[in-house]
Amino acid sequence: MRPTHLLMLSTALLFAVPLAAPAVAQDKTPVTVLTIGYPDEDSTDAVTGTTSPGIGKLEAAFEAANPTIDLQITNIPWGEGATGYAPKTEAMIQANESCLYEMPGAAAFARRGDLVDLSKLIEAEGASFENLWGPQITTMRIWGPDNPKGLYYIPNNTGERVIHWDATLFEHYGVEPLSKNPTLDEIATKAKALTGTDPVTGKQTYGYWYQGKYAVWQFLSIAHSMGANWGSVGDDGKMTVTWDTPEYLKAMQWFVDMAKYAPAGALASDSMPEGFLSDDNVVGIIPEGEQGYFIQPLIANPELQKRFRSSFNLRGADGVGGVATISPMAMASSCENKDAAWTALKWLAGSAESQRYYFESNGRLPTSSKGAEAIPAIASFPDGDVVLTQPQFAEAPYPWAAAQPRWAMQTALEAALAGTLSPADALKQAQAETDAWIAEQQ
Amino acid sequence: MTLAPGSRTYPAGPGARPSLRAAFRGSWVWYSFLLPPLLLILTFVGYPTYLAFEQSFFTETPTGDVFAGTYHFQRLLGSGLFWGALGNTVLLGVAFLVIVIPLATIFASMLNRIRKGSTPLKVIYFLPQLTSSVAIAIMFNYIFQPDWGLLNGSLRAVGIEQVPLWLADPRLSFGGSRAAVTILAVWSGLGYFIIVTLAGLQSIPTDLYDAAAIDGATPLESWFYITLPSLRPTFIFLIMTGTIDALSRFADLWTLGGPGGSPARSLQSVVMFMFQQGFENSDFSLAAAAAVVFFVIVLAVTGIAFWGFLRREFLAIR
Repeated sequence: MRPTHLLMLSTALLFAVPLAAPAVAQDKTPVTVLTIGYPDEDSTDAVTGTTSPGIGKLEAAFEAANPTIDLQITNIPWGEGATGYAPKTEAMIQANESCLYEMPGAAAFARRGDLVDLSKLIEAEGASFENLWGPQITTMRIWGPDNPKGLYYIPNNTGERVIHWDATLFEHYGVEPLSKNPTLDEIATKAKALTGTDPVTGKQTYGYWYQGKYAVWQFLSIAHSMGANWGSVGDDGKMTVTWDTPEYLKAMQWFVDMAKYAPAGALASDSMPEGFLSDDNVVGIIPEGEQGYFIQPLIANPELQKRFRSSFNLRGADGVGGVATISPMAMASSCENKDAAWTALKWLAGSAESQRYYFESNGRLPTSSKGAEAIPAIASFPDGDVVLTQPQFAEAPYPWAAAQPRWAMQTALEAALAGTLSPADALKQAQAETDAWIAEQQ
Repeated sequence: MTLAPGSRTYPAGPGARPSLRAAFRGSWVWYSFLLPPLLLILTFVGYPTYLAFEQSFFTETPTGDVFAGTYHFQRLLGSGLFWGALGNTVLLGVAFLVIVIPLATIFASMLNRIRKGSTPLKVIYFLPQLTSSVAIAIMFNYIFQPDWGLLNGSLRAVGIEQVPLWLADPRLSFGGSRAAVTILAVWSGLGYFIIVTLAGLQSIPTDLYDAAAIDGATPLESWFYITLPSLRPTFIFLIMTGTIDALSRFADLWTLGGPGGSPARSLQSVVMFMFQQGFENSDFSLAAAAAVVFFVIVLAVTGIAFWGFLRREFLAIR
């Protein structure tokens, strides 16, 4: 073949291939999805041997169940700072890069009018809509410019916060095991008793723990159980947040007092205490413990199940308490294939296959009624009832969970825990910063 | 007069200089080489900078942007959070430069005297500069953990029980969070400062030292009266670039302190403030106003440094 012929042939192919490619996928409706933090490929934990399926498994399961839709998943890591999920989500929304989003800051995007009000799609579906999410469909309604009580996301999975406790330390000190629904008084009494030198091992132990950089969640849980209420969002979308109240002051004083029974460096921590889930653990009670990350190793090791136990999170008079750690799945207003996207959203948030995938890949727990039947391993867990039902008792998601009221309270709490501000002054500071932010909201 | 090969001469006298077009015609190849980077700079630096300036004068609403004049600048300058972040940034920058420049000068002077093995040492000192700042921050997060970190563990191992709280202490102290991130910055940046200072040292004519030796100067006197004054342009360059770097500090502080610069905003820098306002609070106008003010501050610092210190050197080499 002459070089000129080869060149002509290559050029012809170069143009022909892209023209031919869409014809192959034309019979499928594309739906793009942004997911966060799932494994890109199948992987095996080097320590526990637990396998985690890659995101491709979710895509394949979806397309097997929905052969007319071409699900195109963009999976990003949680990341940090400039490479975190927040700026990437913002960039993708602004560039109309995806139809569906796993969107931790969904409330803020809904307020800006970037999300579809799913309640209208549910209404349009009428009686054929199968509610797999129970009352969450109602409690998760938030304010949007086209509906003051709109449904802008459905949870596709959840983490959960429980009160972890080390049964071995309780035994060493001769302290009665923590009850299934502990009160603040019980926690305080037992935390004090567990702080000191372990009578068996001779190690210094601590009765209490808090994750310094996320202490605000534990504080809100404590405060809610003491009767505090952060505020509300009116029909006009105006938010009212009241931090500077006697209930929050009492809660902060209690927290600062309990911090004396925690390791001195807890304020610098952003995770469970060092040694958790091992024989080196020296912390007795861990309120607001992150269950999701640890279920898989606990299931894999029955000995650990006996030592590291779970009790329900603190609850208020309304029967709920603790931060909701749901993962919201939302649809962008700019989505062009809304019907197909709605089908995909319902499957991703509700199907047994998707719930199983979230659990097997990341230890995320089910939010739909089909999830429990998909994950029988949790039911046989010693504290299986706590693990399976705790998400139902979490507070409704805070609409400011990724905005200034959270940062203001977190900063004030850190100052109070470090002793640079009194609890009263810390609450005043948090209130002032929150008020300044609210004044700017449209 | 001798001319370098390929150079041109033009007739002397008024009006005899080549026109701009003629000058361009002769050099279009070189301009075309400069064009791609120029386009990249305009696209990825110039245009976003323009957008930030524009956004700072508008408010984002669900129905579109509304002109807000200087409102966001007034909000910014009245915000205690901004001034706190700016104060932190300046404090951390000054602490870094005050420590790193003398330290780099001492190390570079010693390296300059070493006859064998200086290259491996230079490589070792420079390695942190090549490491991701996020990776360094994660490593120092382990080092500075108060309860189980490497540093406090070592202190306890040698019998010191009252150990600093490092990242758990927001107070202004030698064992607090600001001290910890300053140590991190010095460890990370020292290699670069050493290499630049070493280059400055090696550009000092040896004649000066020979003359000083003949006059009976001790090595220490030579260092004080020849080396340090001769390093003036190097120090100015390091202060300028170090100041700009310190002002734009972000990744390591974010990794260690989280979005709020924990503990108690003691690690929040101006860039973190901008990021938090924009991407956490969705207040892009305030973030843009902060970016504009930050731009002006960096421009002013650079201008002062240039006109005050470096202009003489630039004029001298013209």
